[in-house]
Amino acid sequence: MSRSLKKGPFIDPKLEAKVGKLNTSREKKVIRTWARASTVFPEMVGHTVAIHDGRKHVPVFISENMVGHKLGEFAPTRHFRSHTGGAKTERASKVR
Amino acid sequence: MVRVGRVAGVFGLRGAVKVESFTDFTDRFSPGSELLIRGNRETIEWSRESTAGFVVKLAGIEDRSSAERLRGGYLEVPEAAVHQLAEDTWYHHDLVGLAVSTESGRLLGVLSEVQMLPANDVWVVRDGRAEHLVPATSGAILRVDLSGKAVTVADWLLETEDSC
Repeated sequence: MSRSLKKGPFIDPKLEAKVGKLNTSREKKVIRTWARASTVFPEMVGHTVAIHDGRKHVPVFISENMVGHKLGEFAPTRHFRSHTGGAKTERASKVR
Repeated sequence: MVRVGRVAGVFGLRGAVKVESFTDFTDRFSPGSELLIRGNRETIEWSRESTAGFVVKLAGIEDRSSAERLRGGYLEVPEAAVHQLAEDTWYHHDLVGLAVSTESGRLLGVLSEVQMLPANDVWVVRDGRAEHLVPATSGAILRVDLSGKAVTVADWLLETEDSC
């Protein structure tokens, strides 16, 4: 069942306040949050939010195409570790 | 040698195998490509993507029992044959082991793991029991010096605000 339009999307009020504070002060900081159910708002774009995955806070850079999704979608709670045997693989990491 | 996949199991009765991929380049499994399995050079006859990786048919492997013998084997290429990468992209095995420090000179530890997550990669930096997670973004990673075995990250990564 979808959420009522009257209520609008959910965002943790404390997270919203932190984002607002950083936007007004133009500071660069990592916001740690446990609010995985919060929706990504346009005001959060450009910030780095460390989202709790049950064990640690995963730093996630918020970009425009993440708006409307929930924060929890970007910090998976389960990790599959492939069976590489610790050897060199052809996996690469790109700085976005 | 660089591992590009692992034979996870067999597929069907005609010698195809299921491959768990360890590469970002899908052309590794395109028809005609040559890979090494347990030191033997094998040519790919055909392949297709599946939910868990690839289904690959190797030339000369024509029945299920021959394919069964490949189970658990690693598909490899020589180091000289790996693809050249674009700017601001590095192989995981080149990054692991680099010393990570902040712009102001504070040593955070050694890059021990690269996690591929939906939004951005996360570089795991460990110093004993302490663990720092660094997002692989242009604002956070300032310099990667492979020859100097060092990574410089932004100072603001250590400044956190709790929203609770």
